[in-house]
Amino acid sequence: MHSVRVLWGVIVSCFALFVVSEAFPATLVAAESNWSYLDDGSDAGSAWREPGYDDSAWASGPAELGYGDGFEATVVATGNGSTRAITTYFRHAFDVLGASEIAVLRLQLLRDDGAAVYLNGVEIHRSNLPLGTINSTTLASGAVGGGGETSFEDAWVDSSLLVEGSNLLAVEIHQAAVTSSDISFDLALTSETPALVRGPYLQLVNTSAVTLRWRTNTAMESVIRYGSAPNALSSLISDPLGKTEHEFRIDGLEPGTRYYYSVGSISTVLAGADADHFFETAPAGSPVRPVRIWVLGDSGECAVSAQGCIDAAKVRDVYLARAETAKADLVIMLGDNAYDSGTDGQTTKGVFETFGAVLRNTPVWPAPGNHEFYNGLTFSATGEGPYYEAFTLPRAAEAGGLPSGTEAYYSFEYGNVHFVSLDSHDTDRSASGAMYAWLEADLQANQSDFLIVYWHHPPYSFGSHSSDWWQETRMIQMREVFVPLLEDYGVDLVLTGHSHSLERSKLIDGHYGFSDSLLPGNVIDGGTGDPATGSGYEKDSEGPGAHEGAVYAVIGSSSKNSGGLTRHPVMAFVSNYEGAMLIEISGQEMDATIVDANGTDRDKFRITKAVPEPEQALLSLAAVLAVLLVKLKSGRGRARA
Amino acid sequence: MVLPGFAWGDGFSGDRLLRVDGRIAASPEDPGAYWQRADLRRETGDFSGALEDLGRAAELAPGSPSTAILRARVYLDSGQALAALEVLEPVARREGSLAEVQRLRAESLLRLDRPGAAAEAFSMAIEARPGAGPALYLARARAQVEAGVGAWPEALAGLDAGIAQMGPVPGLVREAIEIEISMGQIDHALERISRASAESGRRETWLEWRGQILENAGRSGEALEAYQDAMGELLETPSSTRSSPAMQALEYRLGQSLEKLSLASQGKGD
Repeated sequence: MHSVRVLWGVIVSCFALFVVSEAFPATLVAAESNWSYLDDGSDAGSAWREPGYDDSAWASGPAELGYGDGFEATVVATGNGSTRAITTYFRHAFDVLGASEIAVLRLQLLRDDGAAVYLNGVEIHRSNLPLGTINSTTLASGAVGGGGETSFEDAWVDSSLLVEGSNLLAVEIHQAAVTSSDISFDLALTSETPALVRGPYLQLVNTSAVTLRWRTNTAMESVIRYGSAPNALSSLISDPLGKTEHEFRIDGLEPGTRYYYSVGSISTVLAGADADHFFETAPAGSPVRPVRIWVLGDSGECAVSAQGCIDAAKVRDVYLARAETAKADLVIMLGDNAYDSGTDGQTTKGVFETFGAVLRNTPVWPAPGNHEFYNGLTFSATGEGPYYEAFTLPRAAEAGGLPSGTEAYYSFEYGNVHFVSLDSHDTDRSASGAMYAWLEADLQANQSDFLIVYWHHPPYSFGSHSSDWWQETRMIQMREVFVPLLEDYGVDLVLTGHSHSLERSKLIDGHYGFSDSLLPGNVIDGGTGDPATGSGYEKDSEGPGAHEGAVYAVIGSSSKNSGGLTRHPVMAFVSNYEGAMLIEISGQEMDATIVDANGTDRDKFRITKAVPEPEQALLSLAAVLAVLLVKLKSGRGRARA
Repeated sequence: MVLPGFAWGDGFSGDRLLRVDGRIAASPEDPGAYWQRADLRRETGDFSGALEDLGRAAELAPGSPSTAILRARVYLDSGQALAALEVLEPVARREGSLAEVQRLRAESLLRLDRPGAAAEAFSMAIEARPGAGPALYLARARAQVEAGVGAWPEALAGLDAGIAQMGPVPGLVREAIEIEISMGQIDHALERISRASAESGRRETWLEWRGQILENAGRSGEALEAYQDAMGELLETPSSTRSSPAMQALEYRLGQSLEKLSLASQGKGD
């Protein structure tokens, strides 16, 4: 975290004026503008990017420019025949008045395949091209097809490069292969006011601190105001250093307390100062009210499909309606949080745009799935990639548990629950690995009433992934290596995703093989676990008790379902609806409900732990007193009679 | 570094292969589709098919580190560490700051029985990502241990650097204690155990280890004391905690050790 100036007790005058940001975009370069272009396959070197370059010999025409798709306004040649030149160059001059007043530039780029964009000779954006020096023979990093050929991508660029008067945009478009059949190019440039791109969102909450993050479209100072009411944000944290990724740890807070907040700059509120923007610290000791958790799995389909957005929004809105009376304290994401490959943009859309209304007041604790690693940039051993950049997770037991030293797997405490998040995709899953050693020590130290563990690949599932399929090595390894350890240390509930379905087991123990190896003795309680029918699951220990049974759930359809579901023999409930899980822990009872995207409760179960001895003594005392009271009353009654 | 996105489908591997086949049919010039199929084929053991796909990907995206990383994984999985190294070396020279390339280089060197060079490659990966997590530190220490006694102090120093960076991560602490013991630095090992034990919410396993080290060093009196402390700690935990197989086994072992050392101290040992 960057150094910050923390100014405690700054009383903001109630007469202070906040300027709430609104966007007033002004078009500097419109889409379908006229561009000069060089399409003869020659290498233009680097001078062509400069404003003073003479392009009078170049051809020109309106965008969209390109060939091969049939709807270009200007067809460029770039070599005819089966083999095309790799690179085509474009230039466009435009005038700006009041350049110094423009804070944010928004670039919208249509490119097939790769592109580099220069403003007044300085590179401002590179898309689908390798790092380092590029020339006319550099191929794009990947082919663009389908919707990617017609959609504009957004980028926020440095407005300080603009000059008063004439400015120049220069763009080079690169093919992914010499045999590629098409290229496309168009561009728009607008000036906008500062705005949020991500968040604000909450991370790493404990009894006295929380981390607040947000991303802006332009580098700007960071200011957080917070306090006991939306109109009483009396504390302030600020950092004058301009940046787009804003992250602050707010500490010195009271446990179990709600604080309202706003983020922005000294003069501008980008979000907050209202009833929806607040954070709540974790309760100290046993919570006086229920701890609630909203569990999502495979929730990132909105990043790649319109239907995914519809389904994820339904799941979210069902939760938000319930949150009016029973708001969750935590959100757990079980991986595949951003399809299709967990890029930065997909993470923005799949996580922060889709669930922003929840994440601004409820801290999120994610696990990585498999799709987080499909961008070629994300590696758990090295902590690289958009997933690890997007989230601030415990590495040094910042919220309880033992230090794991990595964000790939971690633990934390909230109320009377110990949570553990594991990486089932890209971390060593062997018993000699660092994750196993850490987990064993962490579980040994755990003394919370409940133990909830989550990761992506389910140990038991007959959904779109089968835990009986020999090639599903991650599912098998998690079942064979980690489930025995967890059961040794009294796990109560295991949450996973991956299969795009909803599955929930009976209370089971000791089943580490394929489904045909399930023995009757592995099923501790084969009932539904539904308290409404009097068959909730009961465990003998008040805290973590070894091999007393655990429930295994697959919540993998929070933005899509994949069909093809059959019932694994450990399962008490299976369904192909989109949905999520709500968990409520009150004292020694854990109630969980699987809710579908239409708001229907599809499954309920309860796990009851033994009541601690002091509480039992109190209950016994209460019972004795009640009996005495009854006797006294009845005695008085008799006397009256 | 801008690398193209992989985009695996979902479902059984057969279904996933069919989906990737469809993607390749729709975009035959997209190297990402070949990477995707190559990695799927690697996971299912079709190494020649995977290499064929990566060959095509290399034609479409020459010089891409993604192709090299995936090719190295295929070679490592198929037992061709030298081929993996040959693929990675030029990429490491070109993209030295890509930690995953260095990590895979180190894995290749380990399999080629060159632990010293592997340790150096792990160091380069750590240098590229100093806050990466314990896995790289642990792997480097193990490579250094394998490299020979001369490198053991470096292994310890490396683990300490990781602990300084990340805190007392159990995997690193335990590895450091093992190395101290191997080096005969018993008191240093005990000191590390004392620190770990003090920081731990559960001390009994650390105290048992302390007892074992002392017993092996012939310091029976101190060992007996450590075992007694361990048993005391264990008996103070709730009965549900003691019921775990691991704790039951610990209780049994401690009982055995206490009996043995008590008898020995009374001159009744065998």
